Amino acid sequence: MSRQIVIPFGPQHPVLPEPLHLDLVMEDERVVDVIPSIGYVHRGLEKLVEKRDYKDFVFIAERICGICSFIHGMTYCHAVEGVMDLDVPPRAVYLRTVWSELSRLHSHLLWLGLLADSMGFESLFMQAWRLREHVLDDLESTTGNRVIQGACKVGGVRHDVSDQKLREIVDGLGQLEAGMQDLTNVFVHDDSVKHRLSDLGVLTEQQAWDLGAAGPVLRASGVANDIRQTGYAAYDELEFTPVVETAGDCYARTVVRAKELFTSVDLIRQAVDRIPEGPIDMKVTGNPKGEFYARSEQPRGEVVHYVKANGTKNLVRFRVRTPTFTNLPPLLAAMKGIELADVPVVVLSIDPCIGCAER
Amino acid sequence: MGVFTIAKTITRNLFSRPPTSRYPAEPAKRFDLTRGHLVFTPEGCRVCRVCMLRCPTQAIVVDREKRTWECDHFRCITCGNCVDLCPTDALHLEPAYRSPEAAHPAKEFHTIPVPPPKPEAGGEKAEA
Repeated sequence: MSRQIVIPFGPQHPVLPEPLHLDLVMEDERVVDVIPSIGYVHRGLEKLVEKRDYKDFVFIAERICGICSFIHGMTYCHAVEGVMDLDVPPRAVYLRTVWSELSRLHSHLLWLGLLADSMGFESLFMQAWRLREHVLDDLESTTGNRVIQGACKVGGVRHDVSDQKLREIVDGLGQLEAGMQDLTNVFVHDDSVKHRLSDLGVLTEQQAWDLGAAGPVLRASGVANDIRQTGYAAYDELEFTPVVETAGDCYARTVVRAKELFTSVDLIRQAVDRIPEGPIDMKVTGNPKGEFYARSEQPRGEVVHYVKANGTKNLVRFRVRTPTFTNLPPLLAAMKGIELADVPVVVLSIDPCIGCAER
Repeated sequence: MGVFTIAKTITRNLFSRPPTSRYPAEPAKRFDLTRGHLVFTPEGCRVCRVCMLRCPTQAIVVDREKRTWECDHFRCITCGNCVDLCPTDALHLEPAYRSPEAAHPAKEFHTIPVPPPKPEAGGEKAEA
């Protein structure tokens, strides 16, 4: 047996968008064990719930993450609305669905770009982010901000979007779809991408399930698990099938995300076709009392927001379980046996969002 | 085949506009809803303090006695909560972003005038 050495990886590393530290236990060029540590961006947002009005906390819940911010805000609203037993107007529910899917589009395009960057495929990275910019424009023109949208509130949404604007978005997505087709063709069919990603960081179906993988990581290992199927927001009235791949390697995770782009476009189209007329919010009076678990499908996987309230304007407890946190154990399993040069790509393949994981 | 694909791409790239905007030459892209910066109109304020009480970042401080309104723009996240809650439309959002500031508390200070219909003066004006 050769001598083992420990190589620190992160928290600052060119490939990492966020601070994750891994101690890689190496034998020659091969990783035999990985010891993760997080805690570089803990902000104590969960504790802050005791100091802020439950209605204003939406803005803080959104700031848990810069990429999937809308879905965090929406899930928090679902949790509070669950406690208070509010029936949100259907138009607001549909608008939330449209914005969720736009968030998923921009998050997946961002990730595909970052993956291309981690492989050293710079031009592909630029192409992915060029397309993402159109989605961000749609988000900004309808909500007021590119990434932290601030569009959700307890009992509805803050801005209505005219039917004409929704049609424009759908038409724009039609053009974007052609661009995404070109882009995903490279990710799915290009030999250099395949060569770099295939059989790398393999996670079997059993491992993924046992270790609690979530979202695209789980679906890439062959488990058809998508929280959107539980029918929160307007998803119970829209038709879609989760994208599933069976190989469980980095390539499968890429393909899942690439194909999910088109699912999202399709879901936006269906939602715009079926969006009802009516109010976009409701008057929320009184304070919540009780507890509720709200679950949503983020671009990275399942997010759970737990809310406990005692009838005052401040909540008693707020707890978030984010997909990156549950995807860390599967990542460690997937990293065993890979080479040092492959570590950045495998780490990136779970789409780590440490800001979410630590809050 | 590869040669023709590349030739097509090169020709397209040579004659098409860049996907990015030429920012200083042409104005930055903004939308009506863009939350650029917060604007306070002292004349419309009733000193109800709802903006101060409901600000998620506690950026706004309103003093009822001195009739002053101040906002630390380094704390303000431009969420627009105060704009939604303000009963008199004394606050609104403009799409343009604020210019960068160097000094730390980037405070904007306003003295709220006493409304004319009131017969007696509400309080002495605070120095800015």
